[in-house]
Amino acid sequence: MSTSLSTKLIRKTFIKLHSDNKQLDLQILAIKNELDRIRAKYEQDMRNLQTTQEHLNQIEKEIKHFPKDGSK
Amino acid sequence: MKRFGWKKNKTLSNIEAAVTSKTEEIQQLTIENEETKRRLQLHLQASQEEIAASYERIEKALNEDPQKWTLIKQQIQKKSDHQATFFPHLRIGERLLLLGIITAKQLNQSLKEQQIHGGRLGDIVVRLGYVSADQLKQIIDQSFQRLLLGELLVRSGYLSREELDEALHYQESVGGDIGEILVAMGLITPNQLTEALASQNQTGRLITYDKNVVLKAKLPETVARKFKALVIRHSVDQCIIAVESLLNEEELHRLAKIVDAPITQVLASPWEMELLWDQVYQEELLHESTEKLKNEQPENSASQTFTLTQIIVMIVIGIVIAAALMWNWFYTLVFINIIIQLMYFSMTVTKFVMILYGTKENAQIRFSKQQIQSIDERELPMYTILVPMYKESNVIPQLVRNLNRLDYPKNKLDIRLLIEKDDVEAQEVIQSLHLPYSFQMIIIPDGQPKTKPKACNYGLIRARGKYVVIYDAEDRPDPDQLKKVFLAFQQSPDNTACIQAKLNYFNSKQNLLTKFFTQEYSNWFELLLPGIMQMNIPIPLGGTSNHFKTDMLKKLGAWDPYNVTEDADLGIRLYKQEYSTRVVDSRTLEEANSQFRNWIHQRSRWIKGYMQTWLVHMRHPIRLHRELGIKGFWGAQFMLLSSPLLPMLNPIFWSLLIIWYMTHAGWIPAFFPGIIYYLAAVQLILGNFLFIYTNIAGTYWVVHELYRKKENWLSYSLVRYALLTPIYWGMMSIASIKALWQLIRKPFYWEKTEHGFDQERYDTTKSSSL
Repeated sequence: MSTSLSTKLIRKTFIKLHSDNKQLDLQILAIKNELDRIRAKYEQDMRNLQTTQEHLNQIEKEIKHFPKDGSK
Repeated sequence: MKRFGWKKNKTLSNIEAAVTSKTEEIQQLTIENEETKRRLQLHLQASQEEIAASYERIEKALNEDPQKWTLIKQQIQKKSDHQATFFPHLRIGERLLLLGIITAKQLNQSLKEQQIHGGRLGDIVVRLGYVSADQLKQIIDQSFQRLLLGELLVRSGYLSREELDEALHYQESVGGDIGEILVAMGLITPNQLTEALASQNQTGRLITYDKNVVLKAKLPETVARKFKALVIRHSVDQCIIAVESLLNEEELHRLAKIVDAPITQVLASPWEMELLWDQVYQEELLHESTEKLKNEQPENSASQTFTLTQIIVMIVIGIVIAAALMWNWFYTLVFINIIIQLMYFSMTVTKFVMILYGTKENAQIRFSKQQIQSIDERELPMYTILVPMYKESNVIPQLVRNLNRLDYPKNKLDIRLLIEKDDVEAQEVIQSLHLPYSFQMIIIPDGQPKTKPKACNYGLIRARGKYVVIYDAEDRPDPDQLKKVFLAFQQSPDNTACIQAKLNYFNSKQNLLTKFFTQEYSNWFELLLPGIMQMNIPIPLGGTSNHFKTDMLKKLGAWDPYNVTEDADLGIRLYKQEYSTRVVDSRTLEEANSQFRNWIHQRSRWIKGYMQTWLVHMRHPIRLHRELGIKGFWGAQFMLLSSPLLPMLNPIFWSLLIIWYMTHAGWIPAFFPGIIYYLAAVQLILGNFLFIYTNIAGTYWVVHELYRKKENWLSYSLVRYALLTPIYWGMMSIASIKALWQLIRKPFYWEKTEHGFDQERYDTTKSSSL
């Protein structure tokens, strides 16, 4: 009787741990995905900002070298 | 016993240790995520501040030399972009700053506003009162020139000149939109494309939106769908709409009348639109995918299993049989037996005729390699692939590989992975795979019935393809299948609504069950189905790899979400509407069920679906006869009734045979009077032989054809297992009885078939056939 109870308990614990384990795997994957999304968004935003910055640097340079007489 | 217990404990402690370590890992990852988020945010802020400082510096430099600034202003006003040596590619904010119309502070304020609320910078500076609308329009008109999209992307720094040339070269061979090609080639992101398109068209870009505002301002779905537009913000003086492609003047005028405000368009990528649409119109889409057929064609919907008339007819038949049994049970049973024997006999003959038709060379549409190679890819249309799946995340990587192997221009593929809302695992797995942009994950909202056809309907509503096909998650279609179907549609009459590709199994060697299943499918798809099509009777379509013309499918009302064999039902409805279906000589390999319980689940669902379909279409037998014609009507009876009825009746006659052999009881032959005895004997000997023989012939036919094509994923050794087919019939009887029970108790319940049991042992992905 007690052996059967203990087997049942072990089985129950096993199923629970197995399910917990799977849930944790899923959580880890979700966190990693979130990090990927954050990185991708950051890279995209950063690329856009860098392009704008380069563009502005170019404008600054052009202002500096713009001829005083207005010729090309 | 002790050793066993020790092993169990060890396994338990191993799992416990894994759980503890993973819990710690999660804590660690969460901290890291937060830290990374904060760090990246700081980087972005620093860059934004740097840009703001640059504007200030530019303003300062201009202020320091007023004379030069005047000359600069003249230069900017005088020259259009492409002619200028200095300041050739000014954007609107920079132009306004250099012209001295706004200050650097105002510009930075406007950019901040744009970051928070989205919209066009031009509109924002007007709204904030820095510039008048007329002034802005004048500046835009005089200064901007429309550039080619590729050129714009190169100038924006998103693309190198060489990459653009490569894409243009590819466009020459496959046709299609250059933007979509660049995205499909992975050279730019959809965001960059939309940004460039917005810039090219001098319009805004969807940056951000408030979901609550959008929900509050939403148009009726039919209007939104008609204009392919979503309202982002609606005030008295302005209505901002998000569109995938810009509306023309006339459309804008009509929409403005509906919303009673001037319209401003902002561009969104197809992926953003999909997401937005789903957020705003989820309820409407869900309603359409579950209720459309039921509302528009209630006579074709399985939402009601038995009609009142059917129940009354069944009760009457039951009463008549009971009365007859009471009057004379022996004659009644003999009479019933005569009907059954005639039915058996006619079904055997019909099947034999079908197979004869199926062996004809032209029963399937065939194409040579040369014909496939000579297709002008520019003519290929957009193709939608629907992949409904539930709790099958283990096969997703394989699915992606299989679909990536399709020989079809990637810019013309619209692949929709249909994932149920509660299948979080699949959603995370898909996100972690960073799929190409031709793949789109569509989340199917919760709601009853939770069936594959409902998911397909949901995915179909916004499908972009001219043709649409369903694949299951574990499917491995022949790489040239889409091209073959394209050719098949081209060569078929206009009323051809569906092209069915043949299905077979890649794991036939796994066990006896998969061998049986492979034989059955070989027989069905290689001989029977082409034969049925030759005879022109209704066809119960295969569950996957049926390719449709999207418009015709939508006109038909798409799939019945309440029918658990929506494919068989659709075959009948296609026939009713006088559309035709053909079989193409191309295969999709699936995973055969390798586990008995799983097989019973799947088979009982199929049989239940056939019963459901029969009940739906037999609500008005006379009307059905009129709609299908005599051949179609009896063909449908044969196709729909043979699957559930024969396996249910078989055990009775097998039992009679066994009892007779064991006891030679005289009452058994008495049930087979006169000619019925000979008919039953022919049925027993010839009929069973025929069923087994056609299995042998079908399997041999497929294996032989494969060897001729130098493909060897099926072996001749499979043929001999056809001799054991009676075992398979026994299994089918179990499934059919379960199906009948379930039809009464849970008619809409979709018994899930598990996949992915073959993964480790029989991976044929490296086979030459693929």
